[in-house]
Amino acid sequence: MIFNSYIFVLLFFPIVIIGYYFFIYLKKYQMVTFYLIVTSLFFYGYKNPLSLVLLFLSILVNYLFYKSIKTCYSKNLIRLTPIFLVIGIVSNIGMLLYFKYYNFFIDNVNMMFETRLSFRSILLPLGISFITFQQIAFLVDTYHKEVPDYNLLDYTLFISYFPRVISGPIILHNDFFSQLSENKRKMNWDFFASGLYLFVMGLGKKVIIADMFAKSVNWGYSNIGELNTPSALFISIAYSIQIYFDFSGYSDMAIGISRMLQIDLPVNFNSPYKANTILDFWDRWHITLTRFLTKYLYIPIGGNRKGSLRTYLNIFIVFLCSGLWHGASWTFIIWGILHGCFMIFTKRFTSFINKVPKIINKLATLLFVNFTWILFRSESFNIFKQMIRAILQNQWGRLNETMCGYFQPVLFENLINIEVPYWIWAILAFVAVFIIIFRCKNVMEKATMLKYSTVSILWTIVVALISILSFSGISTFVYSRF
Amino acid sequence: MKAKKWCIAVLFTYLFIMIGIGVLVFVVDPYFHYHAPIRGLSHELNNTMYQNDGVIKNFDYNAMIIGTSTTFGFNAEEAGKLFGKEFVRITYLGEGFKRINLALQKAIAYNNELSFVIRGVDPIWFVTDTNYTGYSEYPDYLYDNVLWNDVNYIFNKDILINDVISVVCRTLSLKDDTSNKKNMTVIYTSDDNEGDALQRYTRPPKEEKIIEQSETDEFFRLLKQNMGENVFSTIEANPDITFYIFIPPYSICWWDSINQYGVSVLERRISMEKYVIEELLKYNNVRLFSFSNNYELTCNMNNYIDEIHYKEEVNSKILSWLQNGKYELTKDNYLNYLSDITEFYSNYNYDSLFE
Repeated sequence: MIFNSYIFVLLFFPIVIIGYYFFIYLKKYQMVTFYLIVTSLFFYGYKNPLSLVLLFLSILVNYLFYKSIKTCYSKNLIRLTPIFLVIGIVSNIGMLLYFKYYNFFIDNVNMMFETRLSFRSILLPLGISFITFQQIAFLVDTYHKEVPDYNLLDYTLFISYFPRVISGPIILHNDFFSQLSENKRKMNWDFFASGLYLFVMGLGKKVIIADMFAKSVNWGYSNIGELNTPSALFISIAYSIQIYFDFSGYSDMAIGISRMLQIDLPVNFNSPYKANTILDFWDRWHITLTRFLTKYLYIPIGGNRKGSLRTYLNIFIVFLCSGLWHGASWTFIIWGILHGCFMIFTKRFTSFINKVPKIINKLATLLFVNFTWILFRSESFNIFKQMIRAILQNQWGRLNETMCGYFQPVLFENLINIEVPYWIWAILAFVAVFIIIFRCKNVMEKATMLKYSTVSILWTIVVALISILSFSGISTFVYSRF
Repeated sequence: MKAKKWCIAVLFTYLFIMIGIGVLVFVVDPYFHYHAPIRGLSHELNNTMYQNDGVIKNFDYNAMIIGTSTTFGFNAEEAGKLFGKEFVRITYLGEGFKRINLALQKAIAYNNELSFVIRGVDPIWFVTDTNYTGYSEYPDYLYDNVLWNDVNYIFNKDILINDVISVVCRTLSLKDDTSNKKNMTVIYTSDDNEGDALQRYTRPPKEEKIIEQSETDEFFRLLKQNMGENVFSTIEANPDITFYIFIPPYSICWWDSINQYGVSVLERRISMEKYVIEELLKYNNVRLFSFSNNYELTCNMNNYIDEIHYKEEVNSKILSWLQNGKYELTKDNYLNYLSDITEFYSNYNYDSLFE
């Protein structure tokens, strides 16, 4: 199930909220946890109930490793703890490798050794990357004696908690369990209001903005041959907008939903396109992933403690893994490597970069990020090359009409016939989004200082209605000449 | 204002508006999903893919015109006057026989009064897989009986703005009351200049395709299966319904597009038509028509907007020919008809069209 669907907004979530506060009202706190687990499992297995089996197994196995490590400590069998930790990590990574990277591996073996090993049709379980990282972090923290005693029920909720199970944020045990105590579960209206606001604005970011840009981007990447230089540039920037509003919108929704259930999740985006440098960018983009990779990969392999050369190597390794984590394709790996190299470059020349005017640093960061998103979006190097060639072809002219058509508002087209140049709506959409990105406070900041006014009520309702009414559209059948 | 009051205001206003939208869409019902048009409320038949199911289930009729885009230009009121019946027109643009037949079967199931069907059977859809359907995006939520997925209809921005609100505005302004009309009339516009259709036609390069017997066998296998399941079966299962089946008159450019692959390809086309004619003539409840031997019609590209779609004047002529029996095929005349069109279209000087 996804947040931006009728079933979630009109049925599932209202039922979750009503049941949740009903049990809170009855002070049946254990029942609240059980209820959230049941609803989370329904959410996770809605499209593919079989994936629940894997989720259950994964939770059970990890809980057993957690218990084993705890038992070893309590029975003074400390020598055994690293063994359980390593087996635990290997089994988690093994599962991830099999489900996410098996066919990628076979593809590369076939390419390198000219073999004909066959692919397997493996259904990628939802959110497997997030679930795996969260469980690894939990085992590592247990090994470091940072994890107190949790029962299986609480642990199951920690892993399967529906607001974040599919796309994060990646949460750590201390982000979560402390909020399950009875006194923190009482209704806090301020928290609920900020959650409601976050959810609606996140929904708007995803459905109204990201999906509108996505249509144009999808068309552009399927018709690269028809793009002149301005149109190709337009598509590349449009994708930067799409991916930000899509992912951060989803994170806002997740945090908002969770706040309405009185559980706070960590912030995942903080106006990343306002970043001064690439270091700053990664402090603002997918913050919980950066936090995970820093704590559980960068620091354990040495961090910046073993000289600058080793620091650069460690940064490189972290970004290589980050690229691989994002997807089973060489384009993702190269994307990670490029980011790693730019991070190293920025670190190496920090003193010089600090002297450069801020605006130039900001622009350079944006250009780099935008360039690497082209790689991220391309299904293959061939597509990437075509896109770069389209940008560099030096063929200037008008923006492509079909590409701009996706920004044409369908509103009132039967009632009001306004004759404007076809590219106006696309440019207006870009200007509006640039103002939102670069001049406005982000949704999280606004939610934190939410003003309880009539204006904010109306704004929230308007965004909610437009978003929900946009879940479905009508397809026009272009046939012959009409 | 406190947080609690803010939350309650947002949630209740939202709920109130959502219920309001739901009630409005249900009452106006621009795709007739729940009921026939309400008297006094303007309505438009302008989106066949979305409205066909509603028309089939909720309109009053005892006769139907059904088919692809080649039936789109028929005026149901005109047909009603000619045949003395109450018609609806159900068209699926660019669609094969499967979905058209499903719609016909649904109409028969929902409407006991249905006794007369005019169906266009397009030669371009003779050879397809039995289950071929043309639309990549199809509003299944309007065609099934699942109540829950109607949210796609009720809470749909495009439908609300472009269909519901426009209907309300039109009704209130009394500018365009279409409540008594059951058909959209102007479909294929006649604003083309002479020769436009010919200019739009892209002639394939000339080649003499060598016909493999195995390919012909495969074509006939598909043809028999497709026609059997999606045309003949419904006729056979409903002997009380009179079917007026017609083969739409494609233009000389369409014949040229076949002929460019060689006369043998053209003759194979006609042999498929022969099979279809022979099968249809077996049914007593079928009256069969084809106008391909009306050469004044097919050879004049000013009657067409492209190689297969004729202008709306031709639809009126077809209706009158169906009514007076002109161009009807019978067991006695169909062989003459076939040899006549084979002779004509095999020997036509197609190059003269482009001189």
